[in-house]
Amino acid sequence: MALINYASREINCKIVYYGTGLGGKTTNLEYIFKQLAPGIRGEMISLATETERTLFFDFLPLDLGSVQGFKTKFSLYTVPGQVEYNASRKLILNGVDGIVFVADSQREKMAENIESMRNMEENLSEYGLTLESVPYVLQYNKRDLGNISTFEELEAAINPRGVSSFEAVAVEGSGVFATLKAVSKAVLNRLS
Amino acid sequence: MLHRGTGNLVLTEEGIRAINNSLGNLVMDSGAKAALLLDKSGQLIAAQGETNALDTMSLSALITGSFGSNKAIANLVGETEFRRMFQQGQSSSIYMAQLVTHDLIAVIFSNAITVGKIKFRVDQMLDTLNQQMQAMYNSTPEAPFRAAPSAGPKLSDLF
Repeated sequence: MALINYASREINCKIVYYGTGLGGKTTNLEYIFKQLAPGIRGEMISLATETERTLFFDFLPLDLGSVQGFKTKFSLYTVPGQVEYNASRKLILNGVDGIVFVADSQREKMAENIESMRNMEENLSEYGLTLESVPYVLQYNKRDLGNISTFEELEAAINPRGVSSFEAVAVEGSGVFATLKAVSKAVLNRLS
Repeated sequence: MLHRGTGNLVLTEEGIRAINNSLGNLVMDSGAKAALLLDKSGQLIAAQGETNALDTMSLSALITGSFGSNKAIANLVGETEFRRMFQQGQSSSIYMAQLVTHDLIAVIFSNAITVGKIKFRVDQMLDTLNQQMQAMYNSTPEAPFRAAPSAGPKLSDLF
């Protein structure tokens, strides 16, 4: 649900990074924060535990400049991936405009990826949303590790709708901006 | 609970002017530093007062998150939700209240002013803000991105 302000000619959109625990959602935001100039991004806020696990959410505001005569601002959020924090995940999806589902490519994480996708659909339904109504893209993270599922296996398991998907090594930044660009375009196109 | 689903919230010039007037009056009458109106997804709708020194985007996200987590606390003590919240600091405090549309108003004020005065002024203003926000939700959305595909090159420049 974008906020479209005709008085200040501003559009504000909310993008949520969703996925399993330790999958790389926060790492995506940290890389974006490090790479973008302070004029484009605001301060990153992380509500994390002492061991750096996301407790509630991470938040990073981006100012994308003027698009079609409107100042366009995106708020990037991550959810806590740990199973027990579902109430927080549900809360953060409120008013979402676009989703990046960050999947962990490691073979042993496949079942968790599938469960996290199912959990996301369930939480979206609480707001009357479905994966048909919300633009989303997939990111297959940790492609640098040894024991990973193939791209085709991941596509078959968690991308039945054939949405845009990207291989990534978020810790090195590979695939991070391609993913962000794809979800941003999808969100802006949905506003038309 | 009121859900907006995929519908966008369109802030018309006339509507936002009315809301800014309400928030401006609230700041003036109460002596508060600033008043913010936030939507329930954590985005800033309007702000009045001394807002230059405030990171209003981050404040919006955190206040909304805080309100949401307190709803879970409310459920644990047998309440549906807490409609008001008060955070007391050493020199400044924040008073927050929920509108019927589930949007939030947050008032930041110096501790030289009593919370009772702020609460009284916010309560006085809530009916007006409720009406103004409900009118906004009922307004006809326009499509600002009719030529949206051409936004593509612009995004490529940015990243």
